[in-house]
Amino acid sequence: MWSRVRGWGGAAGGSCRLAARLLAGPASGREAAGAARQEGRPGRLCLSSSKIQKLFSTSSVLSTEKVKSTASEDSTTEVASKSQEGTPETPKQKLLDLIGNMKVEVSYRKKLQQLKTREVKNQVTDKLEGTDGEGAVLQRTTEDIKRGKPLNPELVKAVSAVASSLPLNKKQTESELLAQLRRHEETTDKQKKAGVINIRNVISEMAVKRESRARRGVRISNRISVDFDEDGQRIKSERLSRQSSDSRRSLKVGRRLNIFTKASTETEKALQTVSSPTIWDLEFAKEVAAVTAQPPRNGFEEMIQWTKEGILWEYPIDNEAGMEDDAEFHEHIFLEKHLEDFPKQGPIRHFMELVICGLSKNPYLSVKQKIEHIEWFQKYFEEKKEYLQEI
Amino acid sequence: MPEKNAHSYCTMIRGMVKHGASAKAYDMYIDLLNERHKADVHTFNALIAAVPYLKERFLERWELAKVFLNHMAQQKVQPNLLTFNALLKTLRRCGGVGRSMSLSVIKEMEALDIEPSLATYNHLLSILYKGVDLHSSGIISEVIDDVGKRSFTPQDPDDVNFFPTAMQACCDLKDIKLAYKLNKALEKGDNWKFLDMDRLNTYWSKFFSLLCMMEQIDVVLKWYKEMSCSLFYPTPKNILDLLQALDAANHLEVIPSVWEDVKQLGFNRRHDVLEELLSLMSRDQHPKEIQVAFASCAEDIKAVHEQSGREQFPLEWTSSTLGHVAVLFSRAGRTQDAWNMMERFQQINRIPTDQVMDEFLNCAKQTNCPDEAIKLVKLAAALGLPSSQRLKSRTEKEFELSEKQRKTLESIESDSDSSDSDSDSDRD
Repeated sequence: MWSRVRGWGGAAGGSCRLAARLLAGPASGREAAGAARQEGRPGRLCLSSSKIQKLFSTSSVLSTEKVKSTASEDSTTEVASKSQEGTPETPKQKLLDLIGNMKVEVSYRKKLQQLKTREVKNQVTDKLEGTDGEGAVLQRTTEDIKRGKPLNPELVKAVSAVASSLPLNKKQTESELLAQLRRHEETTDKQKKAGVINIRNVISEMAVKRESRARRGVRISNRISVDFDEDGQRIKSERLSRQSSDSRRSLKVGRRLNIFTKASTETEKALQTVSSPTIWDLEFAKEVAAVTAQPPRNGFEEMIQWTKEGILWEYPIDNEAGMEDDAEFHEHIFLEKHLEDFPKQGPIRHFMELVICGLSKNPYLSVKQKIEHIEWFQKYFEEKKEYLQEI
Repeated sequence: MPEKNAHSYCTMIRGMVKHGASAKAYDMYIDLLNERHKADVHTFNALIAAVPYLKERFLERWELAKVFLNHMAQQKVQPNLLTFNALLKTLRRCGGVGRSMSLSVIKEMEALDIEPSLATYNHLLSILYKGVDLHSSGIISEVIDDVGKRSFTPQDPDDVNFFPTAMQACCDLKDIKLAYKLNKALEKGDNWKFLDMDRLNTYWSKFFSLLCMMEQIDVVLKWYKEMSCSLFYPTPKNILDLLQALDAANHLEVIPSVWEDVKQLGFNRRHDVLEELLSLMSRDQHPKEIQVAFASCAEDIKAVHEQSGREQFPLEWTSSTLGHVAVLFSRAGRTQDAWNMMERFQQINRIPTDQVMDEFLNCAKQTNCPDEAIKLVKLAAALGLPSSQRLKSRTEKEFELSEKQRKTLESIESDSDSSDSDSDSDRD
């Protein structure tokens, strides 16, 4: 795959692509569209040589006309652009320009197809001399088709179509084009082989810098053991070296990273700034606590857990459990002395006596809270005194 | 972010890493640096933990982690335990680089007086002892000694994976003494809390497999009686290991009790367990009582394959299981049951092996049932087996046949003569 990349980027390569370039013109936008169109076609053409035989032999005129028509409409724009440019470029020049602008964006399958077709074409172009007329070329190509190499005639016909559409010497342009193509094929092959050899050298030496290609190959081939084999052969050499030092390995022996220095205790205290725990800290604390929160192993542990939760009383029962107040019982129950500020008779007094009755029966409030209750009422009635006086 | 101060940056970075947006977290960290703020230790921990998601190649990951550590040192942020745990967790995904660097990290922790937690040891063992090439057991025994010396408190959610990892490493190293030491470490203080129900099961299951491999059979059986169904539930693999150990120690008489356990555990419908059991039982001849016990096991197994009243559909017979059951019945002298088995062969379109046929014939001879023998010969002839001839001659020789039986036997011969041309050629 690497060699193909090399060859593709370096030299002219694919016949069908070239044909597309020749027909479509130097504009890159059309290039892409043309490439898409043309690339579809070779795939289909590769299907059966007999089909193509039929296509070419019976309706050769039609097809040439078709090709010619597309060629002509493309070439008219070509001519137009040419006239716009003003400089009469030879087809060779155009070819070279196009090849220079070519990009490397072909998918793997297409590359494979092109490789196959390129190999096929290579064998055929060697035989083609390209000096004959169009008909003879056609004939030879039909002979070639019988041998089962379908793409070549397309290219040759395209070449001839271009040559015929241009006002220059037809035969000369044809021969020049074909010769150029042949040369490109040769350089492709040379560089392809050279590319292959280069990579073989690289893999055999396995220097550190060239690892990426091999590593990617290994990764694609066995994704499962990526972690182990990703470094490829380097691991093996490391393993060998490590086994020798295995016996000496221990937690006590060894060098440290030497990145940090131990902070002295003062700096430690200074660094411990009291910041309120962020939400992440709280979540982390919860996670960590949940790690060892195992269900109770036996009944005793269950009882311990319940006692902590308050479901179970603490044994032995302590009568004074929960008695935080220092206040005695009479301070809770006899609350009349707090009613001195209230009027001695009347609905308010009646109301407050009921309040005191309820508070004295309340075991949950502390004395202070009860007094606060009464004081609140006192304040309330003070405020409303004016309204009450009116009544 | 309403206001961009160090605290908000740190919070954002930590949140992003927690929820998987590692690249964004890294960008935010760069912003933080550009604005000359300082990050706190938790942010650095999060960033170090996110390194495997930021880079692909091992060396790059390690380099990036070192970059973060250096920034910490420059900003005078002291690392804590979680920093090193995150670092080791990252090194776990760094292959060979991780292996060479992990011990240095431990040394660094020591130099800074940070006590390693179980998660630290977990990561260390995962780096060094998981995979193809295992180290010598020097480091793991030191680790287990350290763990056994003190009782750990939970400091990292990864603490829980230490014991299963360590036990797996012991199994891979095939070292039973290490496993005993590990069990002792588990008993120290609060260390038991780090194994919840699932991990407990896998831990003891692996330990039991190791035992079956490495220890004598009496030790294995002792552990089995103590542990089975109280400390852990044996897996099918454990049962198979146990059977193998029994086979290696030639203690096959324990198999009926193992079968009882298998029934209790609910593995009595598993093909692999049944195959193994039956083949072990029927392989050799055993003394009488054991054969009888084996035959009762075989009967249970047969019941599994029959139509049971409950919703479970019956298991399919295979030729080997059917053959084994037939052999076991024959050896125990239960001719009728054995004959029932033989009849089933035709139902499943399988052929009994020669051994099965011979055993059945032996059984018929012992119990003096010439009818059954004749039935067997008829079956063999019907199936077109090449051994039918041999069986016929055996029947003639070894049995005392009445006239009628002899005539039936002869007629079988004539049947096979007319139907099979093969048997003709055999005779010639």
